[in-house]
Amino acid sequence: MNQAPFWIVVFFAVGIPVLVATRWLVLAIERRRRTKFVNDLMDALEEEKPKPTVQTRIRDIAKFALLIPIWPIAATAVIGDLFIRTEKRLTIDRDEQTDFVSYGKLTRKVSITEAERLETANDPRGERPGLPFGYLWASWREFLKAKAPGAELWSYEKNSDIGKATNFSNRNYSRGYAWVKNGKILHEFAAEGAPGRPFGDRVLTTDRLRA
Amino acid sequence: MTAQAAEILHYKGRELDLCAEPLDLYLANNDIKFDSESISTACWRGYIGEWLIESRRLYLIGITDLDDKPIALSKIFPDNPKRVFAHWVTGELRCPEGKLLNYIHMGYASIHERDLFLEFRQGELIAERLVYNGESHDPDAPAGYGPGAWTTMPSGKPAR
Repeated sequence: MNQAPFWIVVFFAVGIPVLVATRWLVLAIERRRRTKFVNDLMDALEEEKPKPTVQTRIRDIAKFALLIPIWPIAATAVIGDLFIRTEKRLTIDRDEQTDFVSYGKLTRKVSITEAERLETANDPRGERPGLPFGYLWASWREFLKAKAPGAELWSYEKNSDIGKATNFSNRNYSRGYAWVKNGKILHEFAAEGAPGRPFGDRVLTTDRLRA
Repeated sequence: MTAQAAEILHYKGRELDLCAEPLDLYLANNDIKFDSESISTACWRGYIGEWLIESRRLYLIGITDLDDKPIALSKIFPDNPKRVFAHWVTGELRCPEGKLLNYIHMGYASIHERDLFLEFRQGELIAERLVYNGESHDPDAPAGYGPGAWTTMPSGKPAR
């Protein structure tokens, strides 16, 4: 007995609900990702949209119908894209939590002793104070006092290189230490750098951009 | 944002306009701000630093406030009243030179005929490069860096 018609019916019977469910899933996840403000805005825009004409509806149904024969590929592609975007978004969120824009990164966790050892320089001319961080020693001590319970000390680097494209400003570099707790930067201490303020403002960090 | 007044840099017997604020890191770490009797939109940082490169090292040799009054270095560096080796400076500082090509009323964004870039590592001058941005054919083009316009207003605070 030829079972082909049976399997064709099964293929379409499974495919149509899967495609409908995929579309619903995409919309639901997209909605969850957005803030309440954006959702309200989108709803308002949706309400302002003109009612779909018969022609528009037929076109939408035709588009959907074209996907049915290739529903395994279509569903896999859409769900795959959804997960890739989710992963990317998690990465971005993690970066945002550290309060650095793309040019800033936490390099590694360090102990206070190690940081002070690394920041002690022997100046043959004796012009740099022999204490760790030289002239910045007092501010380093203040930074240490600002430690919140459970915070960890991390080294960081920022390199914005703003002037490269336009050639009229400085490369903004800084390096230092930060108190980090639950992935969030609580305090920063710059050990060295060259602030250029090419646009008349301080070197931009996310926390300042957010303010 | 108004164009900002440059710092002063003495290098190889010349006085250059330094479009960078090497003292900013030290001041920010120590939460130091200068109070003057006046505020200028051309100098939001509230001071002009004077720097010297000697034996390939960068030194802070003076600071003046917006009322053009000198601020003693010992006020912010208690142990070093004469000059301070700026060992915290790592990166590239820029000194525009020559005639003005394009005035941009924002930060240090104006473009001059040349830019001298000085690269420091922990206060030591390790490299320098001169970038040619073009030639001005305007006989009236101003030579040297400077903000074109600004507003000065009383701060309401006594000078420190």
